Amino acid sequence: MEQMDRRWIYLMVAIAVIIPFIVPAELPISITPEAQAVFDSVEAIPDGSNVFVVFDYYPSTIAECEPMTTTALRHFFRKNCNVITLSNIPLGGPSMAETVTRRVAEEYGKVYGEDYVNLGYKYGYVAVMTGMGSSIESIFPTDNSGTPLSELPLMDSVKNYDDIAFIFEVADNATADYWVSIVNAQYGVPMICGTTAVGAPKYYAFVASGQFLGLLGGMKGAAEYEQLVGMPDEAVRGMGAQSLVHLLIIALVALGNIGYFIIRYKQRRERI
Amino acid sequence: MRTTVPVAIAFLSGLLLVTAFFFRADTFVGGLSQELTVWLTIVGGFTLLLGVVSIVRVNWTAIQRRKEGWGYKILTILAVFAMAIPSVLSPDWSPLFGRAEGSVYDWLFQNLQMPMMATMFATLAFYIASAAYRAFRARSAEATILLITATLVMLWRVPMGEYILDQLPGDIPAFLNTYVMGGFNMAVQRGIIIGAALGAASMSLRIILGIERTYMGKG
Amino acid sequence: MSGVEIFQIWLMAFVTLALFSFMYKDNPIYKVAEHIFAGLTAGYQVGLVWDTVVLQQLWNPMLGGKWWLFVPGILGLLMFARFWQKWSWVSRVSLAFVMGVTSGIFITSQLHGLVLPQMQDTMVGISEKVGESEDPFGSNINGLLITDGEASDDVALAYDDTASVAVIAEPSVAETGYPQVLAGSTSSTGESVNRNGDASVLLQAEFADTAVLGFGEFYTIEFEIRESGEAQARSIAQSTVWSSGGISLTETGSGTFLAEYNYDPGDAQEVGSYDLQFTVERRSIMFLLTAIVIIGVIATLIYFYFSKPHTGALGVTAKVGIWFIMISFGAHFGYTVMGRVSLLIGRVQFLVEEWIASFSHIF
Repeated sequence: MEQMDRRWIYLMVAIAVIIPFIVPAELPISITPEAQAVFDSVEAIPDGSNVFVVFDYYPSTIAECEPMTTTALRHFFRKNCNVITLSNIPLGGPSMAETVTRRVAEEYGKVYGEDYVNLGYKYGYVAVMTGMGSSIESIFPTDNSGTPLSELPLMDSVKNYDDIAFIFEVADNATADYWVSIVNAQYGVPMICGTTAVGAPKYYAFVASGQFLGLLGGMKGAAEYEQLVGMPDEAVRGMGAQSLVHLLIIALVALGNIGYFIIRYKQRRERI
Repeated sequence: MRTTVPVAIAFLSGLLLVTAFFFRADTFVGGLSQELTVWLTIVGGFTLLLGVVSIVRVNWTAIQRRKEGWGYKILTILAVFAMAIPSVLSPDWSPLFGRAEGSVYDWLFQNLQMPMMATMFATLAFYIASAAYRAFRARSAEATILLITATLVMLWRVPMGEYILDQLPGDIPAFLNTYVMGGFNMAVQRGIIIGAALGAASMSLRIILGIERTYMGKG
Repeated sequence: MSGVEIFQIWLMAFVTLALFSFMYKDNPIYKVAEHIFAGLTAGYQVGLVWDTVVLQQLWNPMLGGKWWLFVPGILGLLMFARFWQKWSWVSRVSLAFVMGVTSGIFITSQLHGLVLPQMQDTMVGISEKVGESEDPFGSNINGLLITDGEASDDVALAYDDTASVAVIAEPSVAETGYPQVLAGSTSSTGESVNRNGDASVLLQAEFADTAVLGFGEFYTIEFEIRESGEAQARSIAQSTVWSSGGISLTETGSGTFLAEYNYDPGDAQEVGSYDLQFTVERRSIMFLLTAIVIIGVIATLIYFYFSKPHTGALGVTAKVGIWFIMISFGAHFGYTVMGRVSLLIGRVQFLVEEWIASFSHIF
């Protein structure tokens, strides 16, 4: 068993992922208090507020993060909030913000420049986050496509963090730490975080301290949020495959340990 | 000169930003620090280009010396230029230039780079499954705790697993969320956050005071 | 689905499968895809920096009058001095600027934004409020009864669901919204309420809570009184996590509870107007959790403290730290599996839902 070619394991994983997409099953998705808190805190924002949706993730984690940004945009547009997107990721961040936001905005008939703006990317998130506290325009003189902010009606009423009611940060890296330590701590803008599963355990500390009002962890967190907003989509559909692979990995771990203890038992007996 | 000037610049710029924390944005100090943050976004941006130049140089040298796999490196350099050149040309000349939707840059990103990057990281799922089977053993008490916690969390975070946990006595999902994630895990993460933040702050102080100079390299 | 869209989907599927082919074994198709990927990644940054930094942040503002931006522009260019050994030291100037500004921001933000809030949260809170009555009576509180043991002169104060306080037995309602009891006076029932002298009165409050108490959850209850002419109500009985405060709580039915307190006003109690207030909160016992967190934080910090050898008390604490860390890393591993699998699901979702679905448009 120890000598099993690893490619058999790869094949098992591949089959476990594919089957639920061929034979889909509707699975109940339980809601954690952290995800409920995300939904509740967005619901509590007055309709029509200006909010930040931050695309701080690389294309590598698009499967986990994009369902979060997509659902957040739907949630905000449903509440007629004005959405300002930006990214601190030099690899694909601004492009994904542009594509996703335009797609969701079309669903709600939102107009670019009036209902939403994509500020794009600037180097150095520490400087960007600090600088926007005084003036967003000094850090982002133009939007992502080069249009001066002064020509975008939405930005007439958005000068710095004082004009931002909420930050919805979706991150697969440590930028979330700086949104907390710089923006939330110094400027008091309430925020929540959607993060990859790898990052979620760390951010329980920020939820406990009240620095994050809520937390979405990985694809399950995204599925919970989709469920709460009432728009089940990619993340909810992925839960079948997620379940099967988890069970497969647990079975593999159990199998590996059984083999390990049998060998250890035999070795001990031989020694005696 | 080679060391004193950089140390002085780090000291003055760092000190100004620390001081600015206690000033309002509309004061002289606040305004000056704001200007420096803008400067940082500019200067730092060039470091990204530095990385690209470095990649091209390394690959070009390998091609010149006909090192193993040099043919593939030609593809790397071609890909760099295929992405870079149309993006720096003015979109006023052609909709294929620039970064907007419909440009070569955006097309390559959406249709090649994005799926490739997502796939690169997706392969990790296979490796982690294989590693779990081969290496995840209850060899000691500590390893057993790690294994049990990992298994319970894996079950808890998926619908089918949660169904299994619900069949067991007690509210295990609630226990896992409140006590394992919000208790034991949170305490450790908090300890790490506090430790790392103190480390980062003291390292920053060392840089500003010129005690830490390793970022300058040798020479 | 247009021909261009189908081509794009097939191209994406090809590079996806090309990279997955490495799972079987290394091959030239994988290598081609891998090297193209590396090149595109570098090329992406050129376009991004050129547009967002060089044009938007530097060149255009300079043309617009911010001529002084040539300073960071030159500092940026100096970075490239690293490629010439003789002049590489010049790039230190730019690097020092970046490090200095970043460090300046870091010192304050790390201490003020991370260390202090995280330490503060570790030190506070034995119990956590998870629910409370929303107004003096609470929308889920059925009523308040004041009795001296004789039913004839009981005063029942009830809360109706329309969010206004309806007083069954007493006619007047104070401005604050508190039901007002005119002690010693005659109520609409024609009976007086004994609020004078040594006689004690039994305060009873019935409340309903449809939510089932969870693990470690309990109610804290408070009766308050505001005497005539006083601005603030004062507490006369309060139950806490540590004690019942003399308040007894019994479950009278499914989701309904009766809180009772025998109030002995003594001589201090004057005849007059009294506002009575009853508050109930649902709380969760957090001291177990708080203990876990405090021990865990300290033990973790000590485990990672390497300036002294881990012997004696330090060694024991560090050992406790290892156990905590193992639980946390176990949770981390579980989550990491979830994350990695999610990424694979994303690609398979694309292959099944878009690529294979496109077959119907071709074949």
